[in-house]
Amino acid sequence: MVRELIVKDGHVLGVKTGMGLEIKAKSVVLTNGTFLNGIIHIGEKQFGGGRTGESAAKGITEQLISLGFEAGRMKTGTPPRVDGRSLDYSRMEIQYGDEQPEKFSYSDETKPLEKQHSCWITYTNKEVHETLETGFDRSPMFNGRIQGLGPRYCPSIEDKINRFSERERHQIFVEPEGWNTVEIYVNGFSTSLPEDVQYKAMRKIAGFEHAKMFRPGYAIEYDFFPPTQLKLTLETQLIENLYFAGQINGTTGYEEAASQGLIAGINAIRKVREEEAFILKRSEAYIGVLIDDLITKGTEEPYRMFTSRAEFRLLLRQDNADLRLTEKGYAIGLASHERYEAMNNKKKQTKRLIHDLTQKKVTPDEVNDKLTGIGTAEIREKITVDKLLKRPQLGLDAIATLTTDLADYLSKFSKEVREQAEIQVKYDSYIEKEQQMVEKINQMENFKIPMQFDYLAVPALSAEGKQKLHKIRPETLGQASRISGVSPADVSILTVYLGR
Amino acid sequence: MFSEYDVIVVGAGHAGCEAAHAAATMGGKVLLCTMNMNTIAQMSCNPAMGGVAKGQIVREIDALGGMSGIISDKSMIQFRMLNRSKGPAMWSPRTQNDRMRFAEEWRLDS
Ligand SMILES: Cc1cc2nc3c(=O)[nH]c(=O)nc-3n(C[C@H](O)[C@H](O)[C@H](O)COP(=O)(O)OP(=O)(O)OC[C@H]3O[C@@H](n4cnc5c(N)ncnc54)[C@H](O)[C@@H]3O)c2cc1C
Repeated sequence: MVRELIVKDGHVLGVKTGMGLEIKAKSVVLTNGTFLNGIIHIGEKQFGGGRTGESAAKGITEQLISLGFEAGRMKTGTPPRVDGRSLDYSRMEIQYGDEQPEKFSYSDETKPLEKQHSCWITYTNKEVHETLETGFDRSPMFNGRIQGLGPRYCPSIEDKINRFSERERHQIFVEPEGWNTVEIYVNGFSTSLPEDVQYKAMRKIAGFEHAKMFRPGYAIEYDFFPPTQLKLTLETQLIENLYFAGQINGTTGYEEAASQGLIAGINAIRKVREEEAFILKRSEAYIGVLIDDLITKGTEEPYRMFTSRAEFRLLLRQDNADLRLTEKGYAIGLASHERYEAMNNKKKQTKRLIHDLTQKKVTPDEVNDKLTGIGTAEIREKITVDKLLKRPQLGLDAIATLTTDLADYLSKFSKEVREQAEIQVKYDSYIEKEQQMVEKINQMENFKIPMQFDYLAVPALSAEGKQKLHKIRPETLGQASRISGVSPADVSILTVYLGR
Repeated sequence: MFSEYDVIVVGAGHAGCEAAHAAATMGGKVLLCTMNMNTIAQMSCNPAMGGVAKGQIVREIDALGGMSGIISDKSMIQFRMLNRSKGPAMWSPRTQNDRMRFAEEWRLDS
């Protein structure tokens, strides 16, 4: 276990382990998760730990504070795990996977599932809530023993009952933990109430009458470091070559953690080699939105990603992440050559298909019967296929049924290319609007502010603006404009000052 | 005396594993330090990846050359595209995963 960082003259030089071993490095990435001074709570019981059965990490927070860092406290929780063999699934709704399952990776290395596991849905009820309430006086959340702020969007069941007392039931997702395990994750029932209360209340849920509990739910409190202390590369402002990523920055969730780790890892090695910083813009990726939000606005409660946090949602789609990012990943030596080729191929094919759709024409005689059958208006004269594709009732799959010529032609393209072309044609005016907005704001986003810029020496800035800018040290004018407390007038003043 | 590393990553959760994998793939000499070899890439909470907005992030990690997408695929037990009935900006992939296999795949692949 790492106990301490080796720091000299504002540079990190390595780590010291619990046994006193010193290991040297040019850069260090801290991703301690929920382990820093972690305390686990179950009812009135509390003990040190980073996760159930694992010990907490001590010393690092204290050292960082002594180096000038600000630290805070957050909490999160997890539900009980139960024995799937003890549940009555006939009393729950079954939830199947997609009929045509897809997958995450753009590479051929993985395949979609052929056989899937189902999940189930059930609900709490009044009796469950009343039973839970009998434990509220012993709840660490309500009697003040837990100080940290929890995730608003993933609250414990006691929080839900307390905050939404008018709701008579809450949804529970019953999720198997794997192929060869009987363990079940009771999603929606996160709790830190005493074990006996958890058990009694859980058994009043439909289908859980005879449930056997493997492990109780618990809450965990841990240290985090307000992320406004970082640069957009996730390097700390105070200590050179020291990076923070993941839950230590006040986020919650695997995906949020993983993406920060990726960006920190990339930048750590690039800085060692004196290469340029790798930063994704808000208009390029959710990862860019995530990091910009953290660094610019900080977070008071565990931060998780939502589509509403992104202003360019229509550009940041799940179907085009490769078109947006694989070239960048390839340029820095992370994405493989095959990936890059595959992306280029998809791009080329999509372009070709879209072009052809604007050229290919169909006549009323050829397609009107079919169009009526699909439930969309007939055409009066010859039109190009892309115009038809813009109709809400028509996708490329339906268009392929119109003529054998179209069917033959479309069958030459992969499912991914067809989907990509369809989206780009259907939404082209919206996509273009967002792109124009991006170009407009990019003037501000590309306007760099030197890291050492002395805001305190600019008398015209508002007092609050000056203070916030000095603390957060934005890297671009765009980032400066998003800091709360920095007024549009402050931004104009900066523009003038920096333009000189 | 130990020779000097380019990058030391402290912690082998989701953040630490991606950080170490990226720096090593890019040719760095990397050390990943953790407390317990059995809990590498542990899904401490629910056995699922992705979902609304989070699924987009996993796709982005994959597009850049990170591992979370591949690991999730190799350990998934169910796949659903959430919000399919809404516009494509809202489509969000989500997998239910085999917790043991997820951690195992991370160990094997990196
Ligand atoms: C009980 C619990 C409930 C959660 N509930 C939710 C939820 O409901 N919804 C949600 O979205 N997310 C939830 N999460 C959060 C999610 O699990 C995390 O956000 C994500 O796993 C964080 O990843 P990470 O890489 O930052 O840290 P972690 O996955 O926590 O990994 C930290 C790693 O660092 C190691 N480590 C720590 N300190 C040291 C040290 N000094 N030396 C060496 N190694 C060290 C640990 O061994 C561990 O491997 C929960 C987490 C926990 C623990």
